[in-house]
Amino acid sequence: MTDILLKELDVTDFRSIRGHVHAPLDAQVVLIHGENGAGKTSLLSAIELALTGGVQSLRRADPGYATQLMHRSAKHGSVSVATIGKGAVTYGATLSIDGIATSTSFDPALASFFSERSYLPQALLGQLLQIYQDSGTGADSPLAKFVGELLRLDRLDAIEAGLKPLGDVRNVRKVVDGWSENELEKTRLDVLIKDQQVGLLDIIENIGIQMSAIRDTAGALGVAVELDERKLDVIEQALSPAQDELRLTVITDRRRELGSIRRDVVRAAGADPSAPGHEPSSDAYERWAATYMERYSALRSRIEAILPAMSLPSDMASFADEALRHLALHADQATARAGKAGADAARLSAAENEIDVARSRLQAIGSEMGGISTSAGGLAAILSEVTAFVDGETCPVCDRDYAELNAGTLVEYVHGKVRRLSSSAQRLLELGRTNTQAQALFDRLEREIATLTDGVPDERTLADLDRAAVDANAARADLSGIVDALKEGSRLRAGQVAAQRAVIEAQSRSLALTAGRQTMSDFAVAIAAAPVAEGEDLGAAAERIQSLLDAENRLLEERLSLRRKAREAVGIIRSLQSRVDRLSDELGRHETALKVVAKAQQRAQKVRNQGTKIREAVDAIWSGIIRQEFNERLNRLWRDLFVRLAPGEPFIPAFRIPASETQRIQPRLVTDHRSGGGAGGTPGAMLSAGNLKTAALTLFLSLHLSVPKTLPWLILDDPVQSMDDVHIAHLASLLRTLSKEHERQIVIAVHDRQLFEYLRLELSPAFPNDSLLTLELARGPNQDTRCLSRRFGFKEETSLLAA
Amino acid sequence: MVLAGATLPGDIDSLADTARVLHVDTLPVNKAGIPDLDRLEDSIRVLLPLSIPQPAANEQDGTAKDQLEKALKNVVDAATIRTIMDAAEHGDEAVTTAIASMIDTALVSEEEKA
Repeated sequence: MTDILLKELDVTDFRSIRGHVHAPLDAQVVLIHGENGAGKTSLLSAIELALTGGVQSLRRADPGYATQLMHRSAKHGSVSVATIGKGAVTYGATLSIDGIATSTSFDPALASFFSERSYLPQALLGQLLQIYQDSGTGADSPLAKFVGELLRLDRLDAIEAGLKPLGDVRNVRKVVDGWSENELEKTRLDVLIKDQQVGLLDIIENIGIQMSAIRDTAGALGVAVELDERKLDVIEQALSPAQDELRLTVITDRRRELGSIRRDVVRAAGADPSAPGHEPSSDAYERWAATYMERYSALRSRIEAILPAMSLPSDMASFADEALRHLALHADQATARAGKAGADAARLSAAENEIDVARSRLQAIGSEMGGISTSAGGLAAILSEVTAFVDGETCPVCDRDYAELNAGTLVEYVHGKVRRLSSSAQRLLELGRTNTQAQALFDRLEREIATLTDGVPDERTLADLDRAAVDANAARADLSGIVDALKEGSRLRAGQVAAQRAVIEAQSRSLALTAGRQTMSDFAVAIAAAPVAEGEDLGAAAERIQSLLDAENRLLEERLSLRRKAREAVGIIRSLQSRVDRLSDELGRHETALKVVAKAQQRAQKVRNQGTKIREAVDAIWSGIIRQEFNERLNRLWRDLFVRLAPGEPFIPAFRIPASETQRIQPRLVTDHRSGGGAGGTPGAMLSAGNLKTAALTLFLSLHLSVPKTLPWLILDDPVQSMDDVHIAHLASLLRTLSKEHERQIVIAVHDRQLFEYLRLELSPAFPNDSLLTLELARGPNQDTRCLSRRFGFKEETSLLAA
Repeated sequence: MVLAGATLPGDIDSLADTARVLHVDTLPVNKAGIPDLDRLEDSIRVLLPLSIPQPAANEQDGTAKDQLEKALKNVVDAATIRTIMDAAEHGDEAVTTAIASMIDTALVSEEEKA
């Protein structure tokens, strides 16, 4: 035997198994019996845990199942399974309170095969049909997995999955780097081209508007223009303002000329009416001169004599004012000088008296000072120092005894002498000071007298001064008498002068007016207007000519403005045309670029379409193969197995693949009636509970048998609940077939004692090397799990041979 | 032992005590009057050997390739099919990369010419 075979199982404190259990498994059929709760399921799931590192049915019920695996009384647990045959290996796992601590197990593919194709836990039996009935169409669905295992269409699957992104352009963008770029570029160019086309239309419309504006202007100007937007130079030439400008220059000159003429005329017409008004003032002045002129002349001569240094104004009115003011000043000055001369003479005589007194006082002081010795002060000082040397009554100078005189003590005498000498010195100082003061007074008086003597005028001069003052006052009085008359005379004379000047001006103005009229008339003829008629007011004529010129000026300015506008329009058209050219160029370039991008996109799209077609073809082929496989292989096998176990059941479960156009097949579970006539409902709806279990069991066996024989084991946990005897008999038969004919190692657990015994008989070894193991699970006195194994070998039936 | 025809109910039960009894109902008869022998086969199937149709995985795949080439003969150019088939050896990601690269080439080549 080359196939891999389960050899033995060791379980310690796992789930309901308490203590250590060793279970040999190296037989073609292993039959496990135990009462409910003895640990049959634990034993089988221990195999799964050891081989796959997990327990699928528990995981489905509780994702956190791993921490519940250990027997609740234990601190550690372990499971291990040894295999023999192709590659003898020991798999296992240890358990702790935190869950599965370590494990050595199958690789994921093998583990999943074991969990889904080799081991049918009791829990799964009830759910299997539901699982397949509800399965979707995804790659991970149980059916897809089955199909994958069944057919090994790896390349088709790879193509299908690999080309899947092509279906949705969003996925295409993700996988193809340049796709988005190309799309963006195309969109950008589309938008750009559209914008530019709109812009181009706008500009062309604008050119049309400008052209119609030019047409209107040309009509208004009376210019014939060929409105061809390609002949803008001709249009511009036609609209050239040269003539109108020339004409406007002439008119402007004319207007300026007229303005000049009008100014001349106005100047000539200026103050004309006021000329004769001054005639009376001339007469009045004559009368006034006859009365006053002589008197005025005399008075003026007199005053000029009094004020010889003064230059007096010739106008009579101002002369009167000036002369009055100066005469008053002159008289005041003369009076003041005469007064001062008198005062100075009086002072001189007083000063001469004062100087006599001062002189006699000086003489008195000099005589007193002569009487006082000038050495008195020095002697007093020496004596006062000598006093310190006087001791007793003997003189330190002459050594005579003063006591002899009997006139007091020597010291008192010397002190008295010093006092006397000192008072003389004091008096001399006072006299010296008084003398200095008297001398100063004397000197001052001398200087004053000298000054006064020089300044005092003589009698004649004084008399002249008095006379001048009197003359000035007299002249002033006379002038005051005629000052009003002088002012009137001055006014009259000014009037006379003005009148004379006005007459002269009026004469010259009249000449100018005549000339101006002639000039204006000539001017009117020159500008083709009616000449100035005789008697026509010059102002009105000027106004008439002016309005003619103004009208023409306005007309010309309007024309020029129209021409300017038209030429501006031409300029605008030019710039618009250049924009049109530029935009057309750009548009052309963008359209070319768009073609390139669009072509690239078309090619890419073609490739994408090809990819999509490949995928569609793959799908179709895949579906075809699947359909064939389901119908010809799986359904046939399932039917075979199901009919074996339930020959009386008219409804046969099957997978049905709807003949639809959708690429992905979606098999559904249905029941077929044995006598044909269309599909029935789902197995759940059509079959009894027992037959439903049978359907699930046979589906499991079909799935196991359909795929390549990866693990040749069938481990079934109490699959015969709610089966009747006939079913059980047939199942035993089927198991024997699988074991003996198809070399599957069968491990089956049952709780029913009779059933166990029955199966032990049915599955007992039938040929050499065939083997059967029975394991009986029970609880020891301490609730320890005990496993009692019995091995049955092949025994040739001799009794029948003998019979 | 095969029993046919009418039996008494008690006979079957007593037989079942010592031997396994496989009961076959009366076969339905079709319009031509021929009994449905399939039904008979179903009834005694448990006695027949179990034939498991063996999968021919590699053959299937080869067939698939032929089928694919045939289906796409006039639709997709051969080079593309070959590229995709070759890439499929290395899984779906390789296929995606291959087709993406082909699309990219189609996009770029035109741009380079321009």
